[in-house]
Amino acid sequence: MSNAAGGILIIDDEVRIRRFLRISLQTEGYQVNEAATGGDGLALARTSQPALIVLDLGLPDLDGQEVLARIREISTVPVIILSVRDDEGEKVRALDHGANDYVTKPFGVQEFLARVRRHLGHSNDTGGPLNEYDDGHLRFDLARHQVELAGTPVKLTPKEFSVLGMLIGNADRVITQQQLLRQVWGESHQHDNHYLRILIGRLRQKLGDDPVAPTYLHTEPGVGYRFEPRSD
Amino acid sequence: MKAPTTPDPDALLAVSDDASRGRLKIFIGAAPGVGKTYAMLQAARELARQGQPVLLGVIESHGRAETEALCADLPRLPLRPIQYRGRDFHEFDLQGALQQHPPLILVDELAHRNLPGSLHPRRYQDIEDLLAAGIDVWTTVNVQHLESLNDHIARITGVRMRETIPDALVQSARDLMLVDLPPDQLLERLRQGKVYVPEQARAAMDHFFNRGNLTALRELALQTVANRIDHDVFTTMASQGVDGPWPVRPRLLVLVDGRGNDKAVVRAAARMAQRRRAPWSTLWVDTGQSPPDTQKQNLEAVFRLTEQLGGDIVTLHGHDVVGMALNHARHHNVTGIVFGRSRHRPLAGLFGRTLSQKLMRRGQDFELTCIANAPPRHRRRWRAPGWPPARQLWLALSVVAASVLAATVADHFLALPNLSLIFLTGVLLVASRTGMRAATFAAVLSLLTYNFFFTEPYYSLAIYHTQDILTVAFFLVIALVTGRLASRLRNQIVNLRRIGDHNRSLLTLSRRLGEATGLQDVRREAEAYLSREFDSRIQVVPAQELDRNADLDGALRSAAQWALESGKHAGQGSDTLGNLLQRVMPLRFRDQSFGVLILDTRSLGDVDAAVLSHLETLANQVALALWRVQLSATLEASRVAEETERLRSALLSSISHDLRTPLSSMIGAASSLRDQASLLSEEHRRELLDAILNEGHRLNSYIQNLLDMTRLGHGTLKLARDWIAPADLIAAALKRTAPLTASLTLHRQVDADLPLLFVHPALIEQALVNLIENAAKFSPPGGEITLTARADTGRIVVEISDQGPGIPEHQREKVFDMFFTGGDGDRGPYGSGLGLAICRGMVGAHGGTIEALPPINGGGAHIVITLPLMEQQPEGTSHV
Repeated sequence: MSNAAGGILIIDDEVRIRRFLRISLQTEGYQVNEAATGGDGLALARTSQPALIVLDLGLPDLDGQEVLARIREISTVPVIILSVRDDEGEKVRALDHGANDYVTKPFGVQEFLARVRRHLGHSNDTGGPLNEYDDGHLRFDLARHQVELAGTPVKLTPKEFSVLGMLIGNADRVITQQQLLRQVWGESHQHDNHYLRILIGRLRQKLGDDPVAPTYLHTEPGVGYRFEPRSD
Repeated sequence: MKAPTTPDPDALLAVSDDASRGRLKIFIGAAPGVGKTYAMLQAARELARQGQPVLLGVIESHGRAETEALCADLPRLPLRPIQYRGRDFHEFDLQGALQQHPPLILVDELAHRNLPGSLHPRRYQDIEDLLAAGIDVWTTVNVQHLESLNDHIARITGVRMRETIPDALVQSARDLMLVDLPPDQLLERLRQGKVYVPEQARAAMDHFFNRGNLTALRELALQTVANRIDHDVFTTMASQGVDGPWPVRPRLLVLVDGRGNDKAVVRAAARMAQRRRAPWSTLWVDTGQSPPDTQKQNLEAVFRLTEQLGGDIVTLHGHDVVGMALNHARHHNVTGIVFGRSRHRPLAGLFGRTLSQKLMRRGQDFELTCIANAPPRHRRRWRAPGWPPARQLWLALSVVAASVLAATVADHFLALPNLSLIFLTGVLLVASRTGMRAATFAAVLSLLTYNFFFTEPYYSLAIYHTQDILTVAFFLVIALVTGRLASRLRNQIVNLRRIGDHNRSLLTLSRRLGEATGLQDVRREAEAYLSREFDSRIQVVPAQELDRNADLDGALRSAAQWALESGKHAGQGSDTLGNLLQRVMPLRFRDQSFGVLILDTRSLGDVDAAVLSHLETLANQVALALWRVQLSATLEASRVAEETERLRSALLSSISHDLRTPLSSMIGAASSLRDQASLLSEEHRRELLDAILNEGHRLNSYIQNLLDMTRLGHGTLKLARDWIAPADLIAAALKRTAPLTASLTLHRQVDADLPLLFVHPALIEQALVNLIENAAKFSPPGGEITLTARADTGRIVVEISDQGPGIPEHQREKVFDMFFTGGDGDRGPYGSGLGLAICRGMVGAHGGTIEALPPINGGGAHIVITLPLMEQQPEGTSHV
């Protein structure tokens, strides 16, 4: 699983958090580099060519968002943000500026490792978004513009199809409301969150997804939506 | 009557008052030149020699070298320069003296009149302020300046003193020092030029300083001091509960009407009262006839004089002056009634109808004292009764004209004497609508026209028949009597109506003030109501707002400050800053000032006694309301302080308990894992690790609660509202609490197609999490938790119930209080008592409600949240 060319870069000023992450990741066989400041982190990101970066938003020297922006200038490497729960705004900003995922502190090691695995997997597999999905129950085909539920075709409006497509294409990743609105409705509608609420509601209905305990379409309140592939 | 050994509370008070007030010592003399200032300075030097601090406030040495020499090397307060009519003068510096606050100050010439522009018009008022501030004062005065002796002195010397001082001040003096000089020696000093006499008064003074006058004045001065000694004995006896020869405090009543020389009557009565040590009052009976301005001013002056001389003022409303006065006297323990000689009314005297005659007839059980008019008094010129107002004249004219017309018609079928009835009716009508004067006018006019048109010879004023003469005579008498009766009746009605109006306005105001709950409420209500009632701008300034009220300019502010502190009127028409355009009244209740009332007199013209007394009655209500509001604010403040204190200690104990408990189990488990690693079985290791993890989560959620509470408590919580489906919020909350509910059965009933909420998602999610956590914590193993969400009119209702022990009925409101933990000492498993308080805070911030309801079908706790829906759901579904 480990990638010799690019290990995992942890940028966090908290030595205890870094120790905990390093021990967990090394136990799983990953190679780990550590940086305590934004400046060191950026330097390491350039030199060590990591396969994944774990970035804490609260850094002593540079703003985490700034570090993220500079990383994005040089690379498309997956970035997982570490943040505190109360700050949806920060999370949304980071996701909008190219972060791939976030973990809320405090978090358990299982949750964290699952995210790491997912993003390393994605970048290794295709390097691009998924165009097809089939779990035996739900089938989605972007090219043919088809959605089937247990073999029966489901009629979706063009916008519903675009939203579903975007979520499936970024399965397991949180897509912010702004990203969806911008992509599907256009720049001028990126604050009309209620369009999205209503559309997701209908989409869940059509896919037979329970809104209170959804299988596919998950809401991250205040942040965005996430498509979770069914794991059998 | 009082028990033999009970001390008179008034006397006790008078004695104990001395403690906080400054003590006054007056050097009193019979005339200028007896050496009062000299004596005072000598005494002061003696005191200074003993090492006691003495400050010279103002000394009128009039350039005499021997007096100046006595002032040398005593500290002197600089005089205050003042400009008056373009010239420079110097006055006593009251502010400076109050600021320096010496233990003793010498202020010469008690009767001095201050120049306009000073705080008070008179120096004795400055001295009253000094005494009130607790400063001892020594001063000098000549006996002729005493208010109550004013008439007496004028009679003896033929010179009326304008600079009088209130007797009450002299009576309140701690010491009276008589400075005596036999008349012959004084005259000798005068001849030697040792007595200062102002140039312009020299002629009068020369007349004043003769042996006879000086002897009489000397006697008065001796008497005053002797009276005072008498008084001291009395006060001491009364305050020590000695049962003196005064079983009943007699009371004197002075009747005034604003017409005669009431001031002289009041002064005489005050002297009588002082000799008898009797309380006394001045009574005016308002008969409802609006008195002319001069009479109002007289009354005003009489009332002020009464206050200065230490009497009470009583105003009654009614027509029968004597009846009202006697009734009041009988109910108030009055033994003597003092009145002035009535106006010279020979006709009324003939019928026994003058005030004095009536009093003597009906008030036989009282000691009646009639005071003759004082000598230097202008003979009253007879004044023709003025013409009635034009409106009344027109009414009289038109009624008479109508009578002529009616009589012309009736002439054809009525006998001549009956025609007069038509005119009588007219006169009666006029009398009932107007007053005596217009009625008389109508009577005379009717008489003339009747005579002119209807008696032979027609169209002439001559009368032929005896019968007609009689008719005309009766006509006149009947017209006058009925007119008088009717106008009196009318006066009574007007009077009653006025009393009714006053009572009604008092009631309305007190009701409105009763409904006011805060200082600003009281202020607003009072200002609005009073301004309308008096048709003038009226401001109410509570004491605590006096400093920051920007509306008050310099002089008005000083007046307000003074009124507040002294409890007396200031401003327009009063003794303090009388040149202001506003009248300032203190709002007092139970001897404490709660603010001031400022009446703008510009739109009122002259402010008369009736208006002021009405306003004062209403002002009492305002003071009462201010007192009430202040009292409740004080209570509220102490309640809040107590509450804050309670919360603080609850917070401290919560932190020490809720932070320490998880920490100790984490430290314990971790140390056990490290130190006993080799000895632990796999199962135990796992248990300890679970403990560390769970306690960590618990700590995390506790800190989250504390943070949320702080944000809620500081009002810094900003709602970042967003449209969100209720189902999304519930889903997120259920997901976060999934580990807790894993072993329980969860019933969900979330209606499909619930309208969107416009809320701060994270906050509502947190509230739901807290509720689900609570339900899980209290559930028995394998218990059921039911969660329902439905739409109601204009709101979303979320209910959560469990099968735990539930919440006792009396705690269903309390559970939402901060740090309420159900009362069991060990709150270990039940958390910090913050969760529900935070729920209420977060839901409340969105305009929603949260409450605990009785359990459904025998279950446990049952909590209901409602969240309001926006009136308009978002538009633009077509875009979807």
